[in-house]
Amino acid sequence: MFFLIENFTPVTAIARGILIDLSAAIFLWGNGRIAGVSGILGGMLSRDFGSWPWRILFALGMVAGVFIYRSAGGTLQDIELTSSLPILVLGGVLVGIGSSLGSGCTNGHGLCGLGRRSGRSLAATLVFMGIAGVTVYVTRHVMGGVL
Amino acid sequence: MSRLLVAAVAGLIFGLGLAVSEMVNPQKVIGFLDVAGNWDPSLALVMGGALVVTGGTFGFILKRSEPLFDTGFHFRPETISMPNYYSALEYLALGGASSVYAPAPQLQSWPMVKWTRSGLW
Repeated sequence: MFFLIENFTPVTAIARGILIDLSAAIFLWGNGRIAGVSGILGGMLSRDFGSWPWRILFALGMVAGVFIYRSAGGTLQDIELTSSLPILVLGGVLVGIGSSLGSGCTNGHGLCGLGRRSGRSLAATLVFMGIAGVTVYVTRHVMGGVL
Repeated sequence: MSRLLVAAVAGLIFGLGLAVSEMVNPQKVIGFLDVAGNWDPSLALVMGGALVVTGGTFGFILKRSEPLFDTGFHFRPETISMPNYYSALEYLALGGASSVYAPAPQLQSWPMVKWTRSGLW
C-alpha cells in the first residue's frame, strides 16, 4: 500500500537515517556527546565559553552539508515557508523553551536517546510526536491552516 | 583539536543526511505529522532506519569507559520531575508544529531560503 502514498520517499529516508546515525555515532564515540541540535546550540547560552568552538563547528558543518549535497548534484525542492514571521518566531521560542526543559529534541531524544535505550527519551519522543501530530491536525483541519 | 574535528565532521554528515532526506524542508516534516491529510511516512523510516543502527553502535560505544577524545560521556541526569517534563515537551511539540521546524532544519533552512532567493543557486 505504501507506494500509493505520493509524497513517500523511502530510499532517501533510509539514506538519511544512516547518515544521521553515522554522525551521532562519530560524535558519541569521539567526544562522548549526544548529537542533539537543541543541546549543542542551547549550550552556547551557558557561560561555558570553552565549548563554543566545537558547538559552532558542528553548526557550520550542518549548514555546509547542504552545500556539499547541492554541489555534488543533489536536488532539493524549493523550501516553502508558509507561516508568517511572527508565527515562526513564536514557534522558535517555544521550541527553545520546550527542548531546554525537556532536555532534548528530535535527534537527541528520538535517535540518540532511544539508541542508548533511555526511558526518558522514549517518553519524550512519544509525547512530542503525538502532540505535534495533534497540533498539526488542529491547525490544518480544525482551524483551516490559518497559522 | 581532535574534538573540534569530530564536531565538524559529525555536523557535516548530519547536515548531509538532512539534505538527502529533504528534512530541511518544513513541508516534509509537516507531511509526516499530518496523518489526516496527505500523509508522508518518510520521517518514520528516517527514524526507524537510524534507530536500528544507533541501537547497535551506541551499545558498542557505551561499553567503553570513555570516548576517544574526552574524559567521560556527557549525558544529562534523568532527574526532571514528570509533570514539569511533560509540559515542557508540549511546548516543544506546539512550537515545532506551529512553525513546523525542528531546530536542525531551522538552522539549515534560513540560509538556504536566503541564498536561493538571491539567485546564488
